[in-house]
Amino acid sequence: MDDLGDRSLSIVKKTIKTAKHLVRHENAVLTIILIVLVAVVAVITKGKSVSTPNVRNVLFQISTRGIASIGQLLVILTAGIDLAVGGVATLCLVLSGTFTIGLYFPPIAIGGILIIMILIGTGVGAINGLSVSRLGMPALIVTLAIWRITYGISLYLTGIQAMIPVSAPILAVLGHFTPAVFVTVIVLAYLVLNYTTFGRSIYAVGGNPTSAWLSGIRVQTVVLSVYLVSGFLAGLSSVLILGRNMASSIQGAGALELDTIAAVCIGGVSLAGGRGSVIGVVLGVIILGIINNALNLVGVSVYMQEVIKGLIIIGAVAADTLQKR
Amino acid sequence: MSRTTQETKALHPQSVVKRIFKTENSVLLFILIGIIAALAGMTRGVSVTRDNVSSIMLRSSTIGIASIGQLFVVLTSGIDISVGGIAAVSMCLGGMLITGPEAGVPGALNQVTIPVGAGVLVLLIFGMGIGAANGLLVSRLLMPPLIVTLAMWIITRGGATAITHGALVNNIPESLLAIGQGKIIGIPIPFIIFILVAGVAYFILNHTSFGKSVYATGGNPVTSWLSGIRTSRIKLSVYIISGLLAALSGALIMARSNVAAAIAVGSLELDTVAAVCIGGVSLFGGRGSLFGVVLGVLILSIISNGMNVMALGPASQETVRGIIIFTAVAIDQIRKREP
Repeated sequence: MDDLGDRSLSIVKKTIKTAKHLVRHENAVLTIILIVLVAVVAVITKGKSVSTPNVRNVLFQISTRGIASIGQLLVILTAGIDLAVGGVATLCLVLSGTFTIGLYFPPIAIGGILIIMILIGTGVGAINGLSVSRLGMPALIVTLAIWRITYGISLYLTGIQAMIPVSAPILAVLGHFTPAVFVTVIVLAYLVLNYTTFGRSIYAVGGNPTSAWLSGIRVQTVVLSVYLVSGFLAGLSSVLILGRNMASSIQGAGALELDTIAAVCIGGVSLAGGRGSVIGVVLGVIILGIINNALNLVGVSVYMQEVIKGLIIIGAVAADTLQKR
Repeated sequence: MSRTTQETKALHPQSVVKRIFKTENSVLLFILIGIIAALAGMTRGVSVTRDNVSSIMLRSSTIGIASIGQLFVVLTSGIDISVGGIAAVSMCLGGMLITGPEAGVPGALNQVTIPVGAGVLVLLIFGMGIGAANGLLVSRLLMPPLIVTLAMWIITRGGATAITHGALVNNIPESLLAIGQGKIIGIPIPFIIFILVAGVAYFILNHTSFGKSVYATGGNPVTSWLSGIRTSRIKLSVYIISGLLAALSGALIMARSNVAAAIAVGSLELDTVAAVCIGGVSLFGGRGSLFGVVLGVLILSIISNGMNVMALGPASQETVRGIIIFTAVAIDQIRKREP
């Protein structure tokens, strides 16, 4: 009897310990915030937010944003930043329309165009990465400049044609697989970051570049690679946006740079580099997606949505900074 | 010792020329003269007509005033992405208050009308207030300046459009237009204000202990703190200065164009960052001169104006501007590597 009491006491103690650990763990806090958010939004919108079409809508929105956010995570882990993601995605999106306008392409050719889009994204990422790693230019300015350049070229290419429909069965199929692609990217990123030398090097470079270099990590190569990956994922996300919208337009990619940075901030990633997790960013992306969607459903004006998004970013980073103290 | 040798050497005409070439600002000056000559040739003299020169002055004055604020922030190794947003939101608030019901914009702000002077004062104080919010978040909470001001940019830009409900506020009073569009001995008044602001900033940066502390804080915050400089207060002040100057720039845009609206500001944050980069200011803080930034502003404005005169579309302008920023920073970075 006494033994049983002891055992149950120890179980209770263990549970409390686990609960404490969970609450201290950032991602658990984010999960709780997420659950509360879903519940509150469902009540406010009288269940509209949890209807099947809306959930589907949110799922597709967060998938395209999420893929680019994973790229942003890798860059920020090395203490960099990639403001060019929106420009890169827009450029790829617009190019797809420019390539296909007025022409009929067999499915294989469309596949080729999609690959070219992703390659262009990777190429722009390489320019970012080389400037930051070889020339030692500040990431902020490099990617800011590249953002304007890619956006400018996109504007130039679009001209007066605001929207170019791109239709191909392969795109429609691809569009349906958007969430699956997102999940694949998450799993791959998780595995790479946690179970490979490259992944550990990314954390090491962001945490302390000098000691990383002294311990034999090729810092320049790691920095170059994360920008490459970010460009690649921005290109991939533009392909999926194309698949979903079936049209190439200058607004299609939206303010991807802001959304990805916001998601990363909410996800508890340190902007000073070296600290942050894939799961955190995924939770950040979902939270941001749900808030965006809720503001739309409630009918908040676009301008106020911007204000709220900005406040959320500041709040998230402030909470993170205070917690670190 | 080395200083004396330098001074004796300076007496020889050859080394004077060498020194001029070595100083960053003189290189910029040569670039500026080269660009003016090239553009004058390409536009067949249109770019140097009196009308066009005064339009360059108008353009450079608003970019220039905000860029001086940006310089203060960048010298402390910070960055202020929110200048465009601050200019927009202060301008819209001030414009709404000054014009009152005549603005033709719905909302509660519509019911209030205050005198022009008071309106401008409110506008400037509001800009300082947002700058102070940036500064407090950066200096007290130690949040990264990039994210704070990026978020503030989103907030203020959204706020500006929300204040005016997306409409353009017209009917700016004559007294303001007289400042924005007026000229004294052929020089636009905004440009004179820009030169005045530059003069005050030059004095502060080079001849006051506050100015020296700004450089020190950016150069090495720990040493500065150890040598008794209140680095967090310095950081707070530079963001307030940047907010004030951004709001002033917004007021001048309103006075010049007879419109208060978020879109009237354009991409001020990009222009100021570009001007500071071209001016040879180090983005890691502690290095850069006011004169360099003024030259950067002039180079940027003349190039933008040249593209307008040559009727290049906004798309090409955007691309060229990006390439200019990229090249300026790349050159700066490569030059720094050489011993």
